[in-house]
Amino acid sequence: MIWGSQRRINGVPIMVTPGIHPPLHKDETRLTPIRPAGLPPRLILPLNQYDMTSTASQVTIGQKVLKWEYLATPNTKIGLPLCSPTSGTVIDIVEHAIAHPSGHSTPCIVLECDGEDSAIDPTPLTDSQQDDPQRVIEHIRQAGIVGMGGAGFPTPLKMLPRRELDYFIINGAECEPYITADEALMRERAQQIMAGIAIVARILRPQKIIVGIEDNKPQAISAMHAANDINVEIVILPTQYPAGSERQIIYSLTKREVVSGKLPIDCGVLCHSVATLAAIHRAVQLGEPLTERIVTIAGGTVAQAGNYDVHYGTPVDYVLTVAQCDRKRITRLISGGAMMGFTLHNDRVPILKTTNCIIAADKAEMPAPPPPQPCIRCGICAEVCPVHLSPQQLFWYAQSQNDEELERHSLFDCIECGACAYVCPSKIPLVQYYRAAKAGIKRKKNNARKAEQSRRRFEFHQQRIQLLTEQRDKERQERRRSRMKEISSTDQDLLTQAIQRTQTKKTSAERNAQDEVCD
Amino acid sequence: MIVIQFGISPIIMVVVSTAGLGIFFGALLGYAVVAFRVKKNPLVEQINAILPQTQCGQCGYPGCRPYAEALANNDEAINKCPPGGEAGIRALAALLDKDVETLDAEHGEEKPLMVAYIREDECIGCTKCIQACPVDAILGAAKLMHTVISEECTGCDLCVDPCPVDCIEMRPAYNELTAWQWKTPQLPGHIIATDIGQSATTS
Repeated sequence: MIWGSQRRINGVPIMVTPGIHPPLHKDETRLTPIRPAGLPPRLILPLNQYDMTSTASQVTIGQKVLKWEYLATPNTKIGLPLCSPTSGTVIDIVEHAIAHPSGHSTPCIVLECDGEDSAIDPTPLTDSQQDDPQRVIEHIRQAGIVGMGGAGFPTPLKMLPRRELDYFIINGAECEPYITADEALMRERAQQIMAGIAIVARILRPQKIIVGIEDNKPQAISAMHAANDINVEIVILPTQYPAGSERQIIYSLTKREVVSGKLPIDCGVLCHSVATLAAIHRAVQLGEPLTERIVTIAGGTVAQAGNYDVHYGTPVDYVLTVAQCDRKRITRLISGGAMMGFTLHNDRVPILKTTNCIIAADKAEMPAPPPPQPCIRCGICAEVCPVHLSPQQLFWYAQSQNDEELERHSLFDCIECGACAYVCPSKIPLVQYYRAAKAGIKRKKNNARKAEQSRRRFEFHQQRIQLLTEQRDKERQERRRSRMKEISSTDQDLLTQAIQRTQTKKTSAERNAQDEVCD
Repeated sequence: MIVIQFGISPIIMVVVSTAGLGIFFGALLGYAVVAFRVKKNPLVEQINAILPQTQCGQCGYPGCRPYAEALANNDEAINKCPPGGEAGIRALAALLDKDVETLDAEHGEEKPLMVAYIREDECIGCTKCIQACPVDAILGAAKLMHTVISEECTGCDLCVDPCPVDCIEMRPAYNELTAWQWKTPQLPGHIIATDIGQSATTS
């Protein structure tokens, strides 16, 4: 199957997958330099990280901690430690709402900042240590680095060398409306990104390194070219949503299709976002764990919209105050971009490592969605789907909860980009249906697996009990038999005599009783 | 005609040949019944696959398979399995061609999945819970602390009553966040475009 069509950028042909061109709203935030958001009075640091893998708190309430000190260690193999973003006192470990579509709570460490920001000594790797892949990956794990593009997959897991690497892709596309955090990073800190690329390239030795940037970021492109002292290829992508989705950018830059059920690494491709690479540079060469990130604060209610350096755990309401947001006018508060982000139910939730954008939209900017109309089978959704699914068909099956057909129509390849819902003339919230269907199927499969496991264990349990009783019965019979053998012949005589005595006694007693009755 | 040449009346010929064929095929069928006998009742297997395998005994049978057997053979009611819940009843109704019923409240109510948790400080090591567990999910030995392998626990709560010191509690298997999942959008009904104004006035 052909994934995309050919497009030309400055005369250079490039293959792109289908997509959409929504209003980008990037000019409001891309023009100002990155500003520090400062330290809030309190930081809220969730103990649950990527996909709800938990960490165990290492600190007690009342304990004073320094910046970059470990606050929690992972419970699972894929978990990452939690480092303190600043110095201060742990004042509580409580359930607190986090930036999650459910709006539910999770245990969090509440840190009261002392404002001094005094740090422990950074521990960068020396130049020779940077040759050892295991050492570098372990260092990245200790720094708590996750994929900063969105999903927050632990970076060290992605970097484990599983096979020879043909391509190392650096994702600077940033195709989602409103977000300009990566663009600001490329424009102002291109050296950090290049240093990060050099670190990864040194341990993984890819055949080719390509940076992909959309053509609507000319300043970022020229800054990256200027910092390009390691001779990586910088490719300009046409501006289109979702050009920056992992599989789509891999296709555009390498013409390799990551097929269903495979990972990019299976095709010899590794893809990292520019922000992740800057974090790797800071961890490895400066010894700073990942405790702050660039967040785009945007939306019609924000007076000082732009990009801010925000500490991990900073409450959203604090950042909004810094950006001079008129909070009364907010009708929708979104974490992430306008396409794939989710509504926050609460503005006291902390900024996470994956929070790249906060949109505080007013009524005019994001009106309530109109009521959905019936599907008219126009097929526009299928034309824009970057994964070449049949969104309308999936919609019918999702409505009728036909799990078998949903899976046959590759529901699990859907990247939930929202392009289909964006173009839908009937305004059907298609992605919501797919998300719900995915969750339902996953749960059903999980339950079936659990039931099968329980059934097998129950059957084994019954077998075990049966064997045990049989064995016990057998032992009992054997004991009885051996006891019978022990009784010698003289004993046997005594026994028969005793039995006879009791019998005669019994008969005489009966006779007496009869006599009495006769009398 | 051949039959006439052999001197046997056609009626006898027909009777004999039909009887012969009957005996032959009867023998064949009889052999097939013995040789290809299905050891297990396939219906029981199908029912058992629908049941949630918690082995909790809330239906009144000692485990899921006995209930499945009762459903297959004794025309038992399909609404006695609380862990299976509404979805389970619907699946059973479809399989057995019965009407969907509401869950029989006498046998309990549908609850989220739980796991047993032993407060280890209080455990005296009596092994009573180990004997009660239908899936051998409790680890321990006499006079030594016991603990639940939560991955294997079905949440049947059969271990709670036998505990002489009441140190076993049932906890939800998922917390709020892990239990959460995206919901199917609740649409305000499909409206035909020309009816929008009318629906607004009626509602």
